[in-house]
Amino acid sequence: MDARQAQRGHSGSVRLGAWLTHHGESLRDALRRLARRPLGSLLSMLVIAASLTIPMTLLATLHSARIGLAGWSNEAALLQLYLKPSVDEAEGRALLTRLKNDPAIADARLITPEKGLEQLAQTHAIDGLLSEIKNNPLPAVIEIHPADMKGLDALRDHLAALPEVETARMDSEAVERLRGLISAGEQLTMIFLAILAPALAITMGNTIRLELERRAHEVRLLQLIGATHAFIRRPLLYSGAVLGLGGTLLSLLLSMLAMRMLVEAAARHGWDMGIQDTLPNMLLLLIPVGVILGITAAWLASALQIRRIRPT
Amino acid sequence: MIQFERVSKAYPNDQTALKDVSFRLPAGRMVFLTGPSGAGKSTLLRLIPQIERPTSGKVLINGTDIGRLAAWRIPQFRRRIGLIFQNPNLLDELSVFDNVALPLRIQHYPREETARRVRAALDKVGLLDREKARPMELSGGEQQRVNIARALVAKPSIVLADEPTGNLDPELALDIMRIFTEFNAAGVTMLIATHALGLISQFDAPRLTLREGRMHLENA
Ligand SMILES: Nc1ncnc2c1ncn2[C@@H]1O[C@H](COP(=O)(O)OP(=O)(O)OP(=O)(O)O)[C@@H](O)[C@H]1O
Ligand SMILES: [Mg+2]
Repeated sequence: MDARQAQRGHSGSVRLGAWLTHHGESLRDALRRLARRPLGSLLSMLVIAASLTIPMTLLATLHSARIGLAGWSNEAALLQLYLKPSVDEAEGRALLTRLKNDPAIADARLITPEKGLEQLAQTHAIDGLLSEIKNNPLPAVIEIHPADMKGLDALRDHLAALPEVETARMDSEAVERLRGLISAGEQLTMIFLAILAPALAITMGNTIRLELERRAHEVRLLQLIGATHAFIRRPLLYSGAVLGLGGTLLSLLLSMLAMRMLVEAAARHGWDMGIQDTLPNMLLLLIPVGVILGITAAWLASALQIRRIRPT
Repeated sequence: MIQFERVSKAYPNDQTALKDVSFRLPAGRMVFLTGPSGAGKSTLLRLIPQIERPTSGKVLINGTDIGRLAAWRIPQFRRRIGLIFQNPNLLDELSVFDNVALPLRIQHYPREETARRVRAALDKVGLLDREKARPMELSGGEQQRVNIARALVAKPSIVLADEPTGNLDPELALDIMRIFTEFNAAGVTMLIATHALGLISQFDAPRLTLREGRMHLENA
């Protein structure tokens, strides 16, 4: 519609300038109107912020836990090769040397059946019982730190196929289970956010609708003199954008506070959760999402409402 | 050109305001619409910018059946019509200048041309020195003149006025009517509903008279 007008009467660039000016005016108008009702505007932003803060803090915690876990599992996810009983210590040491030279392996350590029994005795304080066992039932074990985490499964299969090796076990099942739990938590939070989004849109839409109702007189007049819906709606869309921006910024702030409190509380109890009180960059994505949500809400609310306000 | 073809209008409460009204007002003419209270004058005017729609019959503007206009064309269509109702309908939070500028703003007129036209319109109604005032600081008559300036600022091809001089003292009323005749002389089609028979008798323009929703043609 604006482009067509531009062709009539005035040069296109001049009208385009005036049209852009109207965007600037609309933004200023939106800010002025929000400022005129600071309490109401702040309240709707707080509603948005409050409902976003819980899932955002959760996401941040889970994200941080995932990072901590990645570091931990690098150390912990080692392979254990259980050697066949027929393999004697000399053969075991020969295998160890070969493995240490494998570029896929960072480090390897041999635990002879005797040493294994000693460790078991130390950790479980069952000296008496064990000294009575005449035939040591433990196999020789080689512990392996892989050079990197990629291709771990292939490495295990390769090692399991060695003639000296009875079985190869990966000691990362607990880590995997935790990781799965975190993924489930993240997915659950995302579902929660997806449910929350329309509720937030309704909150913002309602704020816009009230604004429009307060301006019914003005809307009627604008309709009478031939303003398009787009023109009437423009300041409202900016109001929606400002609401969405303010709400998400506020919720980022609240989430940051919540994270800091969480970390400090954990530290007081001498518990290092390995969680940072910084927010993952991913959450910055919520800002444009909030703005778009606000604009969409304002668009829907005004589309429904402007039609209902009829000139008299 | 404004043309009514057998137009009837019944309000939802079954109040029949117009009955089988037909007339033709050629472009560039000025006509007074008179008749007793409740005769349907305001209703007839409101059918033209599509504030109301006829129950039956057709309203044609420059040959176009406006009942068939797509919704998105209505704003464009309304911009060619200057509306002056008895209630000045000004926005209190805007200055006199900004009120008058509204019809240009919605069409994205450049700033300088807007200012030039607004001042010319305010000058015509004698309010050039009040451009910074708020509508609430003006008398009823002054508000009505702002309303008239706003209706004329975008140079509409049709002006519809519903009792435009209702709030004005006789001298001002005469001034306003003179502005209208000037406009008409410049080619604008004018349809003016009024009770002020004494006032319009001073002007050489035909009269359409409504009685109980029916049209009677007579000449002044
Ligand atoms: N919005 C409405 N709803 C229902 N009935 C209406 C409405 N507007 C007008 N009427 C009725 O339609 C009839 C014509 O009204 P209208 O306002 O057109 O008359 P008018 O000639 O302008 O009168 P006046 O000189 O008093 O302004 C009246 O009987 C009135 O009661
Ligand atoms: Mg009337």
